[in-house]
Amino acid sequence: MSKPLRHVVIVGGGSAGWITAGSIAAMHNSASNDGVQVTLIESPDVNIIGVGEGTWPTMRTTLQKMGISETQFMRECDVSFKQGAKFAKWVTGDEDDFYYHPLVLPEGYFELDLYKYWQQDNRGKSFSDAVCFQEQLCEKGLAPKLITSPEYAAVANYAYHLDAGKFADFLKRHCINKLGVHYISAHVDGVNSIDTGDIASVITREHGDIGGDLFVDCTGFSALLIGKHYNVPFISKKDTLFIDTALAVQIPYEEGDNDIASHTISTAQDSGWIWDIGLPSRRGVGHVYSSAHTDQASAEQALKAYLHQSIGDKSNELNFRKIDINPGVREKFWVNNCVAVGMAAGFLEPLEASALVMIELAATTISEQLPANRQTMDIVAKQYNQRFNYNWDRIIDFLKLHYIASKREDTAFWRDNRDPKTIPQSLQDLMTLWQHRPPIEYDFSHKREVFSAASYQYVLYGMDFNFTNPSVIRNENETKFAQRLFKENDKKTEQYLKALPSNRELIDKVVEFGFSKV
Amino acid sequence: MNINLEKVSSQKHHQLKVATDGRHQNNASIHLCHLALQEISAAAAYYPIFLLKDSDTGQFQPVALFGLDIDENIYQQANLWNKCYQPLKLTTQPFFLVNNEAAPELAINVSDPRVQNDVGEPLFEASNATVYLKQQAASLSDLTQGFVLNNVFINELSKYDLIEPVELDIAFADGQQRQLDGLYTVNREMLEHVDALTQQQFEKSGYVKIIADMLGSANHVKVLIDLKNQLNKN
Ligand SMILES: Cc1cc2nc3c(=O)[nH]c(=O)nc-3n(C[C@H](O)[C@H](O)[C@H](O)COP(=O)(O)OP(=O)(O)OC[C@H]3O[C@@H](n4cnc5c(N)ncnc54)[C@H](O)[C@@H]3O)c2cc1C
Repeated sequence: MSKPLRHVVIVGGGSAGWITAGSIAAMHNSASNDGVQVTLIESPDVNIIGVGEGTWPTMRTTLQKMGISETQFMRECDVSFKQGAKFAKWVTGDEDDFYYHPLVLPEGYFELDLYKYWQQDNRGKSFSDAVCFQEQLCEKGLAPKLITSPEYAAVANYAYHLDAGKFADFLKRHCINKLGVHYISAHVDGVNSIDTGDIASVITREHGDIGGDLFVDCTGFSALLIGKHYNVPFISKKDTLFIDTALAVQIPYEEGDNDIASHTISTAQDSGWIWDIGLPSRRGVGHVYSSAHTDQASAEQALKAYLHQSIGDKSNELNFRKIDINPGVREKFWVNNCVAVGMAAGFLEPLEASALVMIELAATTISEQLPANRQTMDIVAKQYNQRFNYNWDRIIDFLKLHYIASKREDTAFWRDNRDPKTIPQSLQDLMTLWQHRPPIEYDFSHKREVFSAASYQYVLYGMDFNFTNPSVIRNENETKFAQRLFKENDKKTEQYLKALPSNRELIDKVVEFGFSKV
Repeated sequence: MNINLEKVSSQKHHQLKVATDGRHQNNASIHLCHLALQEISAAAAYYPIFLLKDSDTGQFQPVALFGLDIDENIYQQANLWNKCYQPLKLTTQPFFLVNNEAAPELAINVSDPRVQNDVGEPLFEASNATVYLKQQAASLSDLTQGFVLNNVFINELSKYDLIEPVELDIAFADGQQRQLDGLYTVNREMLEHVDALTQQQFEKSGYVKIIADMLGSANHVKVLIDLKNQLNKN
C-alpha cells in the first residue's frame, strides 16, 4: 500500500503561497497532531510582487473558511469594498463612454433572460442599469452593506480592494498563529529527486533539505519547481492578449477628497488601459500596455495625463514602478508530486482581477482533492490539469471579449485586437452563437466557472453588442413577468440608495466598531 | 420628540417642575427601550428581552419589547403599563447626561411637555437641589454605568459566539401574520459548551442569571400576542 500523504510543502510566500497554505491547513486540520502538516518556505531575498489589489466575491468565502474575522481583515489590510468594475472609454473612446460590470446578477437571472426585453424597450437605461441596482450604488459611492450586517453578509454582492503587501503579511500571521502552518524563511536553491521523478526534498540555503509528500510551487514569476526544475513549457498568450508591461504607482488622497470609489475603474488608453483602485488610505493606479504598440515614455505620459485630472501638477513628480509581465500559462500545472499555483502557473493581464480568484480556486481544489496517498495522486493530477486548462482558457476568452466587442478604430492596438487570427476559436464560436441569442448558463456549464454567463452579458451588452436578428417575443406572460422584474429592480435601486451609507462612512465604522459575526 | 437640552442650573431653573403623574408622559408610541445590564432581570419579569443592533454602530444592546410593531406599546394600550417595571432609560427622562470636557453634566430637556413651572417635582428649593433631582442624577449615573457593563457583557457573549438571531413568526387570531427580525438572543446550546472556567466567571459576574432571565422572558411574546388579540377584538 502507498504511504498516506502527511506533509505538504509550499515554496513561496506571496498571496498564492499563503492562500494555498491557509486553505489546506484549515480544511485538513494542520493545527492538530493528526492533521496534514503544512510547511511554507519563503526566500528572505526575493520580494513578493506586492501588487494585485482587486478581488472577486469568492474571497469572502475563502477568508471565512480559514476562520478569519472580516473586521480584523478589513482593519489590518487597508481594505475597501468593491462592487464591480467601471469600464471607461472601452467602446467608442468618447469622454462619456462607460459601462459597468457589477457583481450582482441581473434581476430574475435564473428565471428569465431580461436581455431581449431590454433590447425592445430600454427606457433610456443601459443594460446593467436596467437589470441591476448596483451600478447606481457605485455611481453614488455607496457601500454594499450596513454596519448592522453580519460579517461577510451582503446587501449587494461585493468583493474587496486591499493592500497586497499587508494582505500577505496578515495571512502569514493567521496561518502561523491560528492554523498551525510551519514557516521557514529560506532560499530554495535546488531539488532532490527520486527515480520516479518525484521531488523528495527541496534544498535550502539556510535550513538544509526539507522533505515532503506534495510540493506546491508558489514562487511567482521564477516558477522554481514547475519551470526551472520540471521544465514544463510556458505557453505564451501574447498573440491573444497583447499587454505585457505595467507601470504602477500609489497616490495619497487629496486634502478634503474623502470619497472611496466602491468599484475598480478601468480607463482604456491608446495601447492599453489604466486601473484605478481606491483603498481607505490611498489609491493604487497603474497603466498596463502593449510594448509592441507603444513605448515606455508614451505610456508614462498617458498615465500622468490620467492622474493630472485628479491630482493636478503633482502627477509630474511621480515615480512609476515598472513590471514586465509575460502573458501565458503552463502547459500543465501538476506534474509528479508538484503543483503550481499563482503566477508560477500562469499570468494574464489584470483586467478582471482573475489572478487571485484562480489562486483561490486552485487552493480550494487542491485542498478538496488532496490525494490520500501517492497512488491516487496521478489521477487527481490528471483531472486537475484538465480542469485548470479549461479555467485558464475561459479566462482568456473572457478577457479577449473586452477587446473584440470594442468599436474603437483609433489606434493599431484596438484594430489589431479584432484581427480574427488573435481570437481563440472557442471565443469565435461563442460570438457566432451570440449573434442569435444571449450568452446563457449552458455555455458555461462546469461547476465553479470563474465567470458566469451573466458576466458575459454585462460586458457584451454594456459594449453595445447587438444581435444580428432582433429576438422575437412570443409569450405575453413572459413580457409581463419581465416588466415586473424591471420594476422590482427600480424599487430595489430606490430603497438601497436611501438605506446604504457611503463607502467611506461604512469603512470608518468598521474600523471603529466592527461587524458582528451574526 | 423635540430635544432641547439645557445644563441644569439653580439660577436658570429654580422655578422649573417636572410632572411625574404620568399625564404628560407619552409612552403610547414606544415599542422598545434599551436596558442597562443591572435591570435586565427586573425587566424580564414583565417584558420580552432581546438583543438588538444599534443602527448607527452595529453594536448589540439589550432591549425590552413593548409592542410587536413600530410605535406600538401594547402594555400601555392594555392599561398595564403602570403595573410594569419602568426602565431607567425612561424614568430618568427628561434628564440627560451631556459630556462636557472633563466630567459629564446634568442637563434637562426643556422641550419635554412634562417640564413646566406649575405642577410636579421642583428641581430646586432655595437654590438647593431637591431629593428628586439628586435621585434623577443618581439614576442617570446608574444608567451610564449600566451601558458600560452592557458592552463588557456583549463582548463576552460575542467572544464565545453565544449570540444568535431569533426569528419570531407571529400569527394573530384574525389571521394576520408578522415576522419580527433583527432580534437576537443567547444560544442556550453553545452556552453549555463554554469551558468550565468561563462558566464560573459567568456565574460570578451574574451573567448566568441574567441570561436565564432573558431566555425565560421570551415567553412574554406570547402574552403580547394574546393581549393584542384581545385589544383587536374590542
Ligand atoms: C501589474 C499587476 C496588477 C495585478 N492586479 C491584480 C488584481 O487586481 N487582482 C488580482 O487578483 N491579481 C492581480 N495581479 C496578480 C497578483 O498580483 C498575483 O497573482 C498574486 O500576487 C500572486 O502572486 P504569487 O504569490 O504567485 O507570486 P509572488 O507575490 O511573486 O510571490 C513569490 C514568492 O515566492 C518566493 N520565492 C521566489 N523564489 C524563491 C526561492 N528560490 N526560494 C524560496 N522562495 C522563493 C518569494 O520570496 C515570494 O514569497 C496583478 C499582477 C500585476 C503584475
